Amino acid sequence: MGELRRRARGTAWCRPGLSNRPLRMLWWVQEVREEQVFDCVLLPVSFRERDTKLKEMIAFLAHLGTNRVVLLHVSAGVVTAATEAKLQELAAKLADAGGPRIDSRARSGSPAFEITTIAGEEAVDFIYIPWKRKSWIQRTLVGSTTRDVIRLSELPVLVSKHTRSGGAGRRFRVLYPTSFSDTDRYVVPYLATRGLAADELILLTVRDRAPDPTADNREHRARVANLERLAHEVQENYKAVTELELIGNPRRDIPRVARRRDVDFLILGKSDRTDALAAMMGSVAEEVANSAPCSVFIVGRPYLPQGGAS
Amino acid sequence: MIARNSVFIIAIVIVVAFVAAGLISPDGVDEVSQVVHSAIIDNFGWGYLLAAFFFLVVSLYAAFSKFGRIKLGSDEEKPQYSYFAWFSMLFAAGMGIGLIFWGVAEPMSHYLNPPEHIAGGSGAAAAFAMKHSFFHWGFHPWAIYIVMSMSIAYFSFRRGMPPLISSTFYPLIGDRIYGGIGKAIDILAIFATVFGVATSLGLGALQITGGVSSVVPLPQGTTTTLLVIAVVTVLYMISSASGLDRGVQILSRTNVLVAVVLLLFVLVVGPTSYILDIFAATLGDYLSDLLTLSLSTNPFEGYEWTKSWSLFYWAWWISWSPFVGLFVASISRGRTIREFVLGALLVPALLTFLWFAVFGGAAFHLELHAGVDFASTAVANVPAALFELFAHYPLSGVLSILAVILLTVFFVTSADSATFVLAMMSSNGNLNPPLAKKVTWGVIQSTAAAVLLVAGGLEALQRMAIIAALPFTIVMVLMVRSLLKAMRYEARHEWGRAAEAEASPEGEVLRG
Repeated sequence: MGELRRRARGTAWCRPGLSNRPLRMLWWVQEVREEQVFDCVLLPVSFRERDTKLKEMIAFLAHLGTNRVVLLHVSAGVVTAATEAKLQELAAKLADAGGPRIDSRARSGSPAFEITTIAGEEAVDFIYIPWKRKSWIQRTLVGSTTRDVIRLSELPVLVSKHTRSGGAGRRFRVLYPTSFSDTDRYVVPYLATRGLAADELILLTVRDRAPDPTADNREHRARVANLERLAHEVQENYKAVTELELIGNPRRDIPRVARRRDVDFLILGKSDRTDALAAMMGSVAEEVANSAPCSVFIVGRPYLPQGGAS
Repeated sequence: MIARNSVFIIAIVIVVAFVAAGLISPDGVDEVSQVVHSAIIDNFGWGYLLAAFFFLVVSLYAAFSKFGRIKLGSDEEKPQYSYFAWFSMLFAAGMGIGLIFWGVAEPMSHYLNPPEHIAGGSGAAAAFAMKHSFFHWGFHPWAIYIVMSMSIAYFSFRRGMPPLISSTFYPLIGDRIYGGIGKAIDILAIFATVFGVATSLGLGALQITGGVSSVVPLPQGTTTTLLVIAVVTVLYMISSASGLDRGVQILSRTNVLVAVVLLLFVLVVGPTSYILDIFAATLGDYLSDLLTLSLSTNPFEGYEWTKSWSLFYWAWWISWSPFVGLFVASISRGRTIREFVLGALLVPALLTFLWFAVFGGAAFHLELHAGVDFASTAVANVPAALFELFAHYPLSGVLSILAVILLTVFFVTSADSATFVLAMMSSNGNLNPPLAKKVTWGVIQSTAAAVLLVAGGLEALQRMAIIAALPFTIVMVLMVRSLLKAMRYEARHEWGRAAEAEASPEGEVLRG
């Protein structure tokens, strides 16, 4: 897997050479901490999901503090009365379990496009997609709505795999892989919200090996310092914060750490900068969302007309 | 002590064991090497072609991308050698004896024995012969050397690591370069270098003997060849002991000057416009067919010919790459990647093209227009082909003596550089390796060449070098991956920081 290193916590968070960023970060974290970032969610359903799975998802949303769920079904053809009725029946069934209020919407068209459009119209905070296992050949030939939604959405997307929320003597673990780039600016606020309170937060950085031992050592020290600063920034939400530094490939090593550390919830930042290869092969976020063993929350740059995080 | 010299000891044991096997049972070694060699060329020939083309593409990418401005040394460093000294040493190390050996004989050989779909001795065969001589000695060999030397120079002079082939793998395997994997890579490089250089020295000694015999009445026997090896060994040991700066530099400059004198003489005294016609036409042919030539193993017609020439050459250049790569790296410190790639790719290749056009063109003129049955004479006695050509020119005795001097100087330069490189590789990358190690490797090289010349195992030795080229091709492909990874890292993480450090008065603090 590469080199695994653990380090103690530090006191501040910033990237070397970007000294004005911590102040801006603190302001932004404070803003988000005070609002409910998981308040309203769009949950697309295809009617092929098991009821138990959907109930688990609703329970998990309750854990996050969600108050409203918009249940969406996108038909390939015209939306019939039968489809509407079926959707309302499902909404009622899910509402019976208690928890957030559930509304329903039915649309026709391309699933990924409609999901992201409705998400904008309903002003939801994020999109919650039940994950369907698809092989590489299926994803290549048929495509994947989940991948398309991740690619198209400007809102955070939560891909639901296992929806455990701790309790019963087990620790609820959140994993955040970071490269200390711009993505931290819009992911860290979510880590700092009270809705995501977890037993353990694992901060992971996966990096390339530097070209020589001296540069590698310098890079290692910078990464460790950044992990410590980041841990300090978000630690009050968690009982424990673990910091991991790894030399390797993010696409391969993030899911591997999630599996080995029995992680329940993985938060990923989606970068705007995609090179030609990533455009063809899919971004790291899309790839990890597919191969991670747990639910994955993907956060892109937030759309804030007045500047905000950007 | 033993651990520090483990590469030296293991490499010597392996090399001595192979030479001993060649001495005790030349037939056995010949048979084994033939089987393995044929299997490799038969099954992986396409791999050599693809790899050589890949290295050419990588070289051009490195030169013309943003990485082209990276300096092979610290940002403030200046090149150690002048352009003339640098080009001279590049040319001497990269082509050396081979070019003198094949300059006349290769076009003649392709002309008489082209692939089966071309009629031997025809005009088409002549065009084919010239184009393929350019191809075999043109951009691809230099691209192979460039990839190797650029990697070594980048990691040693810019990143401060020892100038070893294993150092180039740090981005891929980290500290394991200091362990078994790294040592195995360095031993493989020594193995390929000793066998490649010994073979070349053996063939060079044969040619010097042929040349000397054409001027003075000397018996063309084994004793004379051994005497030639002994004299040249003494010369290159003296050159080697005098240090790289003085020895190789002086020899290489002399070398290029003598080569240019010979070249100009044949060009001016010979059929000048015919030669220049051939140069221009072949260069055009070569450049327009470069892609096809680069990627075709000719599976439908001419496969056997491609196997025995093109694929053989590619394997041969790859087996030479550790030696030439390390040497070229050591003389290229302080140049930018763009300057290095363009200089090493274009200038020696252009001189090579001129060489083939002049000597091949003069030979074709004799064969096609002067009514001399030259081609068959040249092919029948390849080491003496150049001297046969001189026999048709005025001052042939002087030309032959100059050619013998040229051969001797090439011989000494190659052996001197190889001795330096071998001693450096077996001293953990020490740029001033101990004299004892230089002497040891010098003696081993010459002894291997002499012993196997007598025992008849020289071709087997050449095949062993080519066999070593297969794992080395994989090593080189991984090396490219490692180099690109390192350069990308530098561009992504260090250029921005360096710019910030320059812009900010507290920059140094941020960089730390």
